[in-house]
Amino acid sequence: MGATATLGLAAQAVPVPNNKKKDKEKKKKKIIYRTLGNTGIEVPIVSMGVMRADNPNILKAAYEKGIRHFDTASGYENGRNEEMVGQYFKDIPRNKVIISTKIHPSKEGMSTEQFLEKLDQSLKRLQMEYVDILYLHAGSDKAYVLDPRYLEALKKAKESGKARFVGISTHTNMATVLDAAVESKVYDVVLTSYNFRLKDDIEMQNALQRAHDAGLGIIGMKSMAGGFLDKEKKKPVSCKAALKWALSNPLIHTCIPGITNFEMLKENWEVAQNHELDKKEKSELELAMNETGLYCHGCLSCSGQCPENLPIPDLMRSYMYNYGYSYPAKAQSTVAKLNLSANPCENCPGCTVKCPNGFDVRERITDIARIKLVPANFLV
Amino acid sequence: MKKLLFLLLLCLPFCSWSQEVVFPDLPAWKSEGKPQVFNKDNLYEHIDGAAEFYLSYGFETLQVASWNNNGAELTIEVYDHADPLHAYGIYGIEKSANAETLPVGLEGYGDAATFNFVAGRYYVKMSAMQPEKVPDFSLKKSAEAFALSLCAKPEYPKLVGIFPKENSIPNSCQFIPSEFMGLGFLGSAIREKFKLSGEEITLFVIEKSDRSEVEQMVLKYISYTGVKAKKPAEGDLILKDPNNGTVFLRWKGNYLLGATGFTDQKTVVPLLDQIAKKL
Repeated sequence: MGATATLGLAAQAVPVPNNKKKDKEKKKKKIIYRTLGNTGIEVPIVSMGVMRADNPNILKAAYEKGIRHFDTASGYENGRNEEMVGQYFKDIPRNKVIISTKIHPSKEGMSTEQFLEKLDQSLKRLQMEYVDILYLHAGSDKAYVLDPRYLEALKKAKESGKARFVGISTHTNMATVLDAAVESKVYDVVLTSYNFRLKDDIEMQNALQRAHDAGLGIIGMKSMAGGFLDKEKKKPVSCKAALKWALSNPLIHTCIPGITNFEMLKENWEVAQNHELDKKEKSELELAMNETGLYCHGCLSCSGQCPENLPIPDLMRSYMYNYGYSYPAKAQSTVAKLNLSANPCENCPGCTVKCPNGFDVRERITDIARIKLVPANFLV
Repeated sequence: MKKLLFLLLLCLPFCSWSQEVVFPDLPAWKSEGKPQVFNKDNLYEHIDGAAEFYLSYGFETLQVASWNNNGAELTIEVYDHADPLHAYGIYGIEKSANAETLPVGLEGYGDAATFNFVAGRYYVKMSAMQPEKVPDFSLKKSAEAFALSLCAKPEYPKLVGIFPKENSIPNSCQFIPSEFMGLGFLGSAIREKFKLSGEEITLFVIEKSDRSEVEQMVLKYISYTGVKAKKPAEGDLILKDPNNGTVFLRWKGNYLLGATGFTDQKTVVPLLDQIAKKL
């Protein structure tokens, strides 16, 4: 390479076939589309979470492949993610893409006017007059979802034409958030965590059904469930299989996997044409689902099973804080509130509680209940 | 042995080791209790979906402390990103294009209500609500004092200042921790944008631990473009990347320099010459 060498592919003149349009339509037909509830928006089942894409060329490639829904947020990269989305899409006809963004009030909360000012900032960065979906970011309880300040802001955003539709995003306590969104009669869309770890979560499935029946658009995220199956982070989840699993539920209208490279884009886009799990993917997910893991799904099927009436879901959650989140202070404060002895299982010779996720409930309780004996200043 | 350890310590960039974060003593303010601590597994509880992004920049822990005074509120968030390069990286990627930077810590920017800065391995975000209620309070002054306690002598990461100054777009120098240009085999890179002859050109530098790693990377890149790869030698190469357009590459030792966004390679060669001289 001593001298400059041009090794790239030279541009070649390709004759345009007469049936190009037909081919295009045929190609389009292969992509699976679903409708986002009563919004009437039809989107391919695979959309794109833009957050971690480092340059607009990934957006360009995604758009050229056929992805039409792109998701960002005002908080991602302090607004620079929105800028990148705006920079690329300013040259694309606005009605060809579905752009969503999210606004997250600070923990102190914000007024309706402040929320709308944030929306104006987002629109400026996006170089757009409107977004297709404006989310209230990260709902985890009913009070937040139904906060009158934010509902008013969302309604005003719609009335002014700055948002075609409004939604709520959630990755905690999703069933409650879905139900509150239905109750509000304001939200059009819910963006929710949804992955194979929730396979036995009846509460979530029922909430999804209620939201669907109420005409809400339902968009899935976090389909990879964190990306790893074990606390050592050595067993990666197959992203394609995990995405297929999420989309195998027709109540999920599209998913927004985070796409950071062209290889991942190609893999994810294949799912838009076929979300059937093949044999290998099924067994991979089967293995993943059978991993006991650290995370209590909060299905509550253990409730009432313990002869000592121990609050098992709370104790399992504490175990998860300690070992899953490495957050012993939170584990201790949760255990302390339960007012139990340091060995609440000592009166039982064995354990009759059956956890559908295979947790050894007695072992975990015996382990975590002792945390109340550790002085608080030893814990973070 | 002690001598060797001392020499090894000298080789480490300033403030690259972890230390206990001591939040500032603010006599006029009342603390709202012990700082909250978040780690890799629960960061999302504090910053939601943005957590994924922080994790990609080597995030280790976040400490959040709050104070109040007569209705005013102050919050300081200290993100530990394991080393100065990753801390600079997350700071740089979040820095507004219009930010007017100040020498607070390594570098910072803000106004009366918010101030962000980077110091050693820490990225710090300070925010105040109604600070005017506290006489003589200045967020910037508090930031200066706190930055000093976190890292007395912060230094720019090695490759950050390597780009030419002329025609560079302010605040465009960024560290990308992985999958640079959406290509997994390129790994991490430092990039900066330039406005030249009406074009927005991006220059970048990728550093590997030895030249054989660069050779492998170049081979992978050539074959990615669909060209049958030959054993490359150090020097210049132009590739037609199907997704990133025309890319000018220059291999020098364990570095790969490059440029995108240009139409005439004559525009970028002198710029890459300037960078190569400094390596």
